[in-house]
Amino acid sequence: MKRYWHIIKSILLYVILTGATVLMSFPLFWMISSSLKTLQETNSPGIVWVPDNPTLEAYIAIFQNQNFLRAYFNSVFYVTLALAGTLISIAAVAYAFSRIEWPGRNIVFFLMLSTMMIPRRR
Amino acid sequence: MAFYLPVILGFNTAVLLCWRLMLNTGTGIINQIIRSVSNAFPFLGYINRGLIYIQEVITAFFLGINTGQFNLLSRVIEAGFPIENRVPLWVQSPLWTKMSVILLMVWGCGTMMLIFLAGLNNIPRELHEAAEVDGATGWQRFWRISFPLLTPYIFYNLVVGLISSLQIFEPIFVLYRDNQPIVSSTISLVYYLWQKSFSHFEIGYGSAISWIVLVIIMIVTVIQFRLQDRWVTYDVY
Repeated sequence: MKRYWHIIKSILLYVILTGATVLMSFPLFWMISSSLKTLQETNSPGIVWVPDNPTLEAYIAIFQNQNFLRAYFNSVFYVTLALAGTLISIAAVAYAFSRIEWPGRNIVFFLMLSTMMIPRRR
Repeated sequence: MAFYLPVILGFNTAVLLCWRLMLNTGTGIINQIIRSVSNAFPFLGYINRGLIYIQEVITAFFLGINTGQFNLLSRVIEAGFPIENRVPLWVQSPLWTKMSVILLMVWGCGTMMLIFLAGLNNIPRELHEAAEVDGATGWQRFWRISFPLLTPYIFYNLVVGLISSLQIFEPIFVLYRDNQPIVSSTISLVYYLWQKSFSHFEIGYGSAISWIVLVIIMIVTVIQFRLQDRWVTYDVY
């Protein structure tokens, strides 16, 4: 019995971890499989794990939609400019905080830290 | 790996919409799984109904404390033990709204898990080896070595998690988008702020709320920082 205890323990561990993994990744699986379903299958009672005849209609419709392309371009634009701006300002501010001694440095640093204490999102 | 997926996807709208679809009472996948499992195994069906009953009674009780009237509680108790084939009424019933939001937030636990992973990797292996040589059991090794060395990470997660939970907005906004007028049991502090200032256009009231939110968060954070000396260990050597 003692010899098998290690095996039993590792099997149990793997079962629990696999279950947790399935649970955590299930919404993503469901998202992908729902995106391949037709509208009838999405709203149908009864579980449709994998669509019978998967269609790419939804994806085709997205890429033919002018609004989507416009929104995508806007996102890219925002990200690029925001990233460039933050990178430049972050370097300057970090240099000012770490290398230059100036009056009121600690107060300003604490103010900056207090903006970090209130995250907008996780 | 799967646990880090919520880190990447976070609370983005696509994931929230997927959850909304999954939590649908009639055709949602979660309820369908619950239904089929309870049909296949009557024992699990009893457990499911018992859990539904407990959840509804507790929520009705606390809603009653909030409003001062226990109509809902007496109605739930009058209805008695849930009938067969009962499923949770995730987003549609005021008794289940908090549970749906909690489910979503629990799913997004990957960020904290990453921090704990880093903390666990930071614990020197020699400490565990030495304890093992001295004949410490796994339980002892956890409480005497791992847990004290993890307390800074627990503290960080506690602070950041409390702040972000007090500011919860997106899940409620996406999940209850269509339930208009929104049930009052779903409204969080920040949602109330948004509702007041951007749909009723009482901007002054909204800004007052946002300052109060800031003060509440500040007080909670300060209390946590004051109490950290009692249980957080920073230096071991």
